[in-house]
Amino acid sequence: MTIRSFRITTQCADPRRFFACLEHGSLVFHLVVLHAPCLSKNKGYGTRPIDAIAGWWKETARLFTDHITSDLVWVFVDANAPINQEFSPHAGAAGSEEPTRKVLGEFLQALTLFVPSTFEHFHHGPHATWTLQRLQVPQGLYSHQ
Amino acid sequence: MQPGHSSGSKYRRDYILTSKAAFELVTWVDFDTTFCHDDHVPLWLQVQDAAE
Repeated sequence: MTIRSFRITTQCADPRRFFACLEHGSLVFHLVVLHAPCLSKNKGYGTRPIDAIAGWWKETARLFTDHITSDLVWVFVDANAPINQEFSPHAGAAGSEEPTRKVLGEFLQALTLFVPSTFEHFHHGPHATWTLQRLQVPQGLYSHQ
Repeated sequence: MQPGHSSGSKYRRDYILTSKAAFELVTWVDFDTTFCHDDHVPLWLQVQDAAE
């Protein structure tokens, strides 16, 4: 069975969310791709006060309720948020980072979603997925007056 | 450091989330560190089940 075997339906799409339903006979599952807004981008494009970010997660949860019809769901997310075992059993202790806000954990709890990479018996290798880019300014751009 | 890769602090910000039924099919999780990327590492997840 390959991806070509499935009838694929786009259920919802916007610049930060994509919901698809894949069907093959009685086998039905959903693939969801999310890119959560980032609090640290505090000016220009990407400005998102925490209330707006919480609203984005809440609206995403509503879209799940509207579109997800199968028990089988996989969500691929750039969450722009850490997670730890505070939200057990939805997340484990492996590679934990202290969350400063609870929006991701509350999203997991509300939708009964789990994070396999936070459990040692599933995950192998390093835990970091994102590298903070350093701003490197060429020395010639400095002005010494 | 490989060309094109960032060199700052590293964090976990990307995840594959699963429903309970999908979680029970998971057998392996890792990252694709061979993929050419700028700052995010692609995740992959292996699942296994039998079709009736």
